[in-house]
Amino acid sequence: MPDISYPLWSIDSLPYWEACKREELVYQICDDCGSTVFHPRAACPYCLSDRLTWQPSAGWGRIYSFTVQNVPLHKERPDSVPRALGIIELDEGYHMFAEIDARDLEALHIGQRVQVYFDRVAHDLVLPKFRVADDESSAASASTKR
Amino acid sequence: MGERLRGKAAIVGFGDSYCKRDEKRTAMRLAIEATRAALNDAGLEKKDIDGVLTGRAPSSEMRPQWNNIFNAYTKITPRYSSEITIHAAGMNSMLKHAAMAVTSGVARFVLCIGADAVGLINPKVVTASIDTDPEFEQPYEPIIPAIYAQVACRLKHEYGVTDEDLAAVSVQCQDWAIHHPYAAKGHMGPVTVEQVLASPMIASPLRLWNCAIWGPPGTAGAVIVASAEDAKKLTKKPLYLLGFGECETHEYITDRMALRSSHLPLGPLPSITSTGCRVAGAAAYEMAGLGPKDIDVLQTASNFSHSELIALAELGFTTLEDAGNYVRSGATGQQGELPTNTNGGWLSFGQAGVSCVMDSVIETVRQLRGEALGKQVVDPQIGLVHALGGMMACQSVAILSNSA
Repeated sequence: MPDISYPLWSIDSLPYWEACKREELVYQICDDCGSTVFHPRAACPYCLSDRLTWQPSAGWGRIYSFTVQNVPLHKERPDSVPRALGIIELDEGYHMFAEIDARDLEALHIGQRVQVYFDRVAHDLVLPKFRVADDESSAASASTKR
Repeated sequence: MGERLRGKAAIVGFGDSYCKRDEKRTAMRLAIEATRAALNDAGLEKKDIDGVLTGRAPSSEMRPQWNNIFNAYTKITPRYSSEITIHAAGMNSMLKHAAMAVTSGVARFVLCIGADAVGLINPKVVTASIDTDPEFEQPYEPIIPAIYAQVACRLKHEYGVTDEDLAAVSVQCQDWAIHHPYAAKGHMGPVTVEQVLASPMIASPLRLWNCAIWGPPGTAGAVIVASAEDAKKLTKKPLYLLGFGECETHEYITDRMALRSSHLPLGPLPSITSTGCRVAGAAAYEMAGLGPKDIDVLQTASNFSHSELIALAELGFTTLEDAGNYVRSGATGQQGELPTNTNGGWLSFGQAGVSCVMDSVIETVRQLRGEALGKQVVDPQIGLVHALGGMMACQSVAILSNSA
């Protein structure tokens, strides 16, 4: 069992992972059809154009769906659970899977405001994760300032 | 679409093979046992087989080109062969591909095989490495129930599905499984809603009894497909292939949210609560000239309780809002109008790996021929097999009948 589950990155997605190391969340915009593209791709999945431009994301979003996982993937890491894993709907209109850090796992709910943070897992891997906003009203104003 | 194929091909023989509890046998051994039985049943010899289709490589034996490995192992030298892989659901679609082959003259007798032996591996880690996104999901180390839980969480939110609804499916599947000699949970006896709701939480809202069990330790199924003309000459019990449908919408669950529009009736998008099952089912019904009310026996993919609720709704038997009530009414039970997952389904018969799809096909064949190993439904004439592969990704429907 590996100590760390490294992503199977490719030369197409490397700019995304490099940005994570700089603690920036990025996505792509299609220059031809204007679509927001995520996950990082070599070509637009909608119009198949390869004219994609990287964009910074504000890193704010809402919980679209989630679970609290109680069983570790690797039984050698029992302390990795319980933890929340969910699909986050970013304000820019794309969705990503991530761990959600919340003080109260029982209180998690769909629609909750979350903000990205970066977990330095290893010298060569920084994983974006999300934290439930302490105060949802201040979170909302933070997201509109972007 | 596909009407020209309706009733033009038939299953002329079948075979199956099972590991008992705690028994260890390889997928290849099981596959060959099932093949031997299918040849005997059809009254054919190995040399008569000129087409071979297999499902995806067994998770217990992850070698690509498993069809050719099987061919080489058995020294069958087919002139038509492939793996049919829309994840494991391809095993259900083998029937369609075989029908196309035997009706077009590409092959005369097509052997279709699916096998796996989950008792030989650590399925939790192996399947998570295959079915979750290796770049954007796996770094967070989800188990498969945590992926399916995303769908269950949304079903509760969007349609008001309850934990009790999920439990009702588990109870029903177990009621069938206790009668089947190879069902992995059969020995546990009947289970109640209260017991399901008190079982350990695996990935909320999915509890242990909402998740399929890995087992039996191994299963295999084989069917031989021929043209309807050949079938009439060969056997008194041909099973005609009346309808097929298929739809693939994504590979990994999160990427399904990037499917923002479709020319197919997948409902409002993006969504993870709608699947391609509705599209696949509609195609199969249209080809067969049949509808939900004509189905006498049903097998659904029920790897998790909510998967069955979605299938029941998208195949037109109920709605998502009412699916729990439908199951609670007994409709899918032994006295119901729609006996469903009659071997216990993936939830209680279990998933011996990818061969769970073949188990659904074989259970339908056995029910229609009146040869069920578990509880036999009274005189069913038309059976529907629904299979899903991956994370709700690939959907395949087949309709089989005793008459053309």
